[in-house]
Amino acid sequence: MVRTKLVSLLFLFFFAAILGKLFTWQIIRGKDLAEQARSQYWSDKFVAAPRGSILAKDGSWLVASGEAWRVFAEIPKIKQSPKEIAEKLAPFFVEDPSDKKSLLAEIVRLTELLSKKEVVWVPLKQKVSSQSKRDIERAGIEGIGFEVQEDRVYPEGSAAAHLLGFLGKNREGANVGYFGLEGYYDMSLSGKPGFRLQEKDVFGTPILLGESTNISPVKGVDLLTNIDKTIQKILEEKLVEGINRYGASGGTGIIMDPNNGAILAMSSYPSYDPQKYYQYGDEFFKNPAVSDSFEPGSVFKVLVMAAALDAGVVEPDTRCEICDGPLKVDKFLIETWNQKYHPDSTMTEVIINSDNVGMAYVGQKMGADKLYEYLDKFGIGKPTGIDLQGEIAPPLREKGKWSVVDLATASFGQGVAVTPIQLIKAVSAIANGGKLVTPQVVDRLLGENWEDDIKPIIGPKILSDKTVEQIKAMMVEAAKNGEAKWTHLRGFKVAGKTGTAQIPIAGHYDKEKTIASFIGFVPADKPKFIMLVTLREPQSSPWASETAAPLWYSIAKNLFPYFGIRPENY
Amino acid sequence: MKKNKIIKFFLLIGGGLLLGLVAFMVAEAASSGAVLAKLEKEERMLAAENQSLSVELVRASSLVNFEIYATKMGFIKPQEILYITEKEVFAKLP
Repeated sequence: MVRTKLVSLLFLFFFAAILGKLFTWQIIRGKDLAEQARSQYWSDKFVAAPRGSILAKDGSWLVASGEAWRVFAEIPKIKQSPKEIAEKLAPFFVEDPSDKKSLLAEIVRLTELLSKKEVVWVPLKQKVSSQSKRDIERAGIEGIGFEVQEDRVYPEGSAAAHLLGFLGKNREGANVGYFGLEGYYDMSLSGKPGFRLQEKDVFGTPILLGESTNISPVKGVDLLTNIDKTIQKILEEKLVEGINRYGASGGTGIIMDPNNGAILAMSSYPSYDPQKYYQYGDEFFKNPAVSDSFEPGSVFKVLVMAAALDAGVVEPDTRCEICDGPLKVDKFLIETWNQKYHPDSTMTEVIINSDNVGMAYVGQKMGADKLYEYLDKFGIGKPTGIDLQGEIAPPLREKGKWSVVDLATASFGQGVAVTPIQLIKAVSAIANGGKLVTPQVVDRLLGENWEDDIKPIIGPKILSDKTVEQIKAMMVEAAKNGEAKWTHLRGFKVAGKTGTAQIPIAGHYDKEKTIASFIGFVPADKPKFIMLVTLREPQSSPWASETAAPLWYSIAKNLFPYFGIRPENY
Repeated sequence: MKKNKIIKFFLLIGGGLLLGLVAFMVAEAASSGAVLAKLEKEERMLAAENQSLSVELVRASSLVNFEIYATKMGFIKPQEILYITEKEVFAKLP
């Protein structure tokens, strides 16, 4: 009887214990345990969408999607000492393993990371190549793991870095395109990540009869650009050569098809390596072709002259009545660049001689409001609409607020600021017969089963045919007989203009520093390309005729055979 | 009585077959899960290989590489370009 009671009590006790445990599991820790169980048999993960490639005009790669690895350590699983592991890993993480200093620094860094006992998981290195991953795996270090990361491959190295931009990270650690095409087309290039939810058994094997959800990732769109790799390479090489030869602190070159606005090449120096963007300061990322403004100087004269011809206030043979000496405007004295004066010179001669006084005369003939209207038509003061991130548009002085001095100086390109892309867009209107075209880098968007042709944006005609012929003839004469005539390639019908602009600093102009530029298109009658070259602070000579102009011709000389441009009588 | 026995017999056989079928399907599904896991692993490996080959192809198509190969093969950049007129006779048989 006692024994029965004892057994009953024992049963009761065990029943109460089980009930208690069940209460703990089901009620108190129910939520957490259910979550843990779900995480054991449900496997859910986002499937990254491969980022789209950026392609050159011929379909070859400028940027492609690649794969890299994040190396991490799971501290509790580590069997060797932190220093031992660090010594094994460091040679794979430094650029040059023979550089003892950097190798030692890396060992110290890794040892510190691996010694953190308070953490379970610690990232050791980002964007390690697949080859290095294989080598590390072969070393068989316990507790070291890998996570796949999106990477970009640049087959042409740092070529066109400003134009392409780079793939960086945002604050949350997600991939984001910055600057250039990567920034402008970030959403299209990114695609849409997929999602996979699958029921798995205790060994991690999928349960076929279980529930599953599978949303496939949508690959990012490929960008087929107008960039011609050959032209880009010629421009890059020659630009660097020119910067070194003339001792310039930097330079920019843009080559465009003036008929449809297709950007064929664009380059600026100093530049950076988009693969290792994190090694450079922010000042390197900005694309000077679209994000830097400068006072254009004499290259601007062709726009003002075109406006005056179109407005009918002058003709090519109109004679300048005030060109016999310096011109006093308000309290300022306007002089020519070489202090040589040309009395009674025609408008063509004003352009050939790059005569500031002659241009001030043209400005006076036009009047400020008319000049403003034409500059506005040329797109000065407004963004060009180029498909690159970071374009700026320095504002034009408001209509009606121009003083006589503003009018005079603007006539020869001082006191107005433009970006290189604005300038090439405006002069393209002269080259293509009077239409304002929008510069475009991307020609087509290529999806998996679709493509979108980005049509050229051709604006309204802003110059008459007569004006176009007249200003082209002036530019041809300027290239042939202007101050840069010594560098002119005989036989080729180049329409061009030099420009030497002073650099404004704190309310006045720097006496020594200049920005030298040359803009030209060829063949003048039916141009195949227009090119702008600017050199910042050239040291060998401050004049564009001795720096930017010869550089322009050295690039053009290499482009002529490529474009099939022959001398006139051949 | 005999009829009931026959029905019972067929029910037993049917039930047995059904149980066997369920067991077979569960076993099949379980092993298919393993096959699926294996295929998924294989797919990941092939995708990685494809990626690595694509990167190799991208790098090989570089203009800089072409220039290096061309130079190795003996090609040189033209030093001077001569333009000749169509009418100009530059090679004439006697």
